[in-house]
Amino acid sequence: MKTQKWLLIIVLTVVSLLFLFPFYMMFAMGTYYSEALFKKLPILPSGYLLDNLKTILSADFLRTYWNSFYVAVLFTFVSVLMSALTGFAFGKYEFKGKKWLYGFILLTMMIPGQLGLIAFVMEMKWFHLNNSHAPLIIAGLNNAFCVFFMTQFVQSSVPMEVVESARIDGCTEPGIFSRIVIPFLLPAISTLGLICFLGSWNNYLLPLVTINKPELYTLPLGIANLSTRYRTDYSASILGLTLGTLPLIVLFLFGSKTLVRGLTGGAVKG
Amino acid sequence: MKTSRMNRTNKWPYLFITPYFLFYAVFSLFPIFFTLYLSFTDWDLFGNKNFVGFDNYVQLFMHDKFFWTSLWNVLVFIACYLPALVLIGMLIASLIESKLIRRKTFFRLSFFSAYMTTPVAIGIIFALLFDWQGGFVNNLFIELGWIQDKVNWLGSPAWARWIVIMMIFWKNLGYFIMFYAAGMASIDTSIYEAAEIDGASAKSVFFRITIPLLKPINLFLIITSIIGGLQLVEEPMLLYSGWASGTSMTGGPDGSVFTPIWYMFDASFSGSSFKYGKGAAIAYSTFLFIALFSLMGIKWLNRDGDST
Repeated sequence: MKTQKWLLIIVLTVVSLLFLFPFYMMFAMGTYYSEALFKKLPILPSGYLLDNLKTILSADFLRTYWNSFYVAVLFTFVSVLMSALTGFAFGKYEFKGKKWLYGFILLTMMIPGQLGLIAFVMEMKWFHLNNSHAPLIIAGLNNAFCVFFMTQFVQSSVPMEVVESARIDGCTEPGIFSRIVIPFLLPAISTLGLICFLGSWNNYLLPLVTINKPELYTLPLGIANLSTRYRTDYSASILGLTLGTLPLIVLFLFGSKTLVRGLTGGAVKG
Repeated sequence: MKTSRMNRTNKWPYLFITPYFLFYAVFSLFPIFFTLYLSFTDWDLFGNKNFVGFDNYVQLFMHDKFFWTSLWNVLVFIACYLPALVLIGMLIASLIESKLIRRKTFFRLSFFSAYMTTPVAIGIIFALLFDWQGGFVNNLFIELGWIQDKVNWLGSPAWARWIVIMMIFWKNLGYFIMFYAAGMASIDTSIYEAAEIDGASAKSVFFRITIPLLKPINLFLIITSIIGGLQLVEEPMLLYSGWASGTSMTGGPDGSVFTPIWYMFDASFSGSSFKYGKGAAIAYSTFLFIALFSLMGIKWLNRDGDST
């Protein structure tokens, strides 16, 4: 039993280190002097981190960072608000056509996101919203998955009695939503918020086709273009990659339990 | 009493759902239908807007080698990485979840971290690792004496495919493990205890109890992987975005890692073409195949109920 246990731990450790290796390489390569990067095996970190950091910071990287951050925050905010509101209506009211409308939402969940993309991009041009961050935030307004998730949560975790008694006490319906229901939804909001933030932060294709001004670039776009803009400085570009991934890792370390519960919640039920 | 309350409240649910459906109609439903319409036109950036019927589709299905190559590629990728993800995912999850391991979180996290990473970064990291002249893999293999000359990994169609398969495997294994771990944790432990008392071996417990009980999870993972796998685009795109030496090419060497959605992007938004009509036809054709293959997947997984 004892040897078996240690064997198991060793095997798992080796495999997981193998999986972390590309990551580690990314961190390590960002600390090298560009010329040295391709000459030997950059396994141990080198001492050029600060110099590379300077290069990156002088290259408008902070603006790209900020763009990504505020787009992700707004995207998350509108997705969560919209889905909480819609989920509340579906979860706690009876009304004509509810079944059909909810069925419609479930159906649209199956449609791949890329299907309407070309026309969406054209539409944004007609509204003169291309070359702005608006399309990236608008994309959060109608996420069927979020509505589904929230409806499930509202049904299972907001007690009807509380809603009823607030109503009897004379609370208005919007007041019930904002003061009674939202506090109950906090766990779902944090899970969904993490998922939405992750999605927006990593989104590459939509900004790729709607934005072509470098000052509007979000991180994935900025990172992808680092190589063309600073061709000569590989390691600085790699440091850019590392910095783009870092916030996600921090977020994940704090929110991994919530995130995992959210991701697996739909498929794994007792 | 009841009716009066209904009267007081019945406009509210409609008011609450209106914004969502309004936004959905304008920013999702309209684009989806308009893309369908586009696919029957020769609409492009240069002013053509003629209705051409099924021309785009006929062109795509009958005469377009690139479309079939791209579709074939993603199917090959799925056929390679999906069974590996399912088997190795279940295996590693069962090792992590076994009673012998205490620090489960560390292992779960280290596998899952790849899934969190920006697809853009994954494409670029792999491009650099497999770079021809100065890539880590070539340098390492030469150092170890496994190869004499540097291999042009990204320049060879066969290797390019394997690298993409490896990337997707690397990225998604943690995701699969997460699901399997959650599923295994929810299996009633008394089932395992009963099997232990009956003298079942670890192997037969795994195959006879764990795998059948994970069936709903497998169904979910396999179907969503087929749907997602057919839409693969960012990782191969970034692998060939010009970070490594001589890798700036659409579709990789001989189009070996070209994907349908990449083709859609190339047809509708790349520097020279801007053929929205063609791109729209590619989008709808891909969607057709997604529907087809996911239905096949569901049918196959539900075939008689005792296996998988």
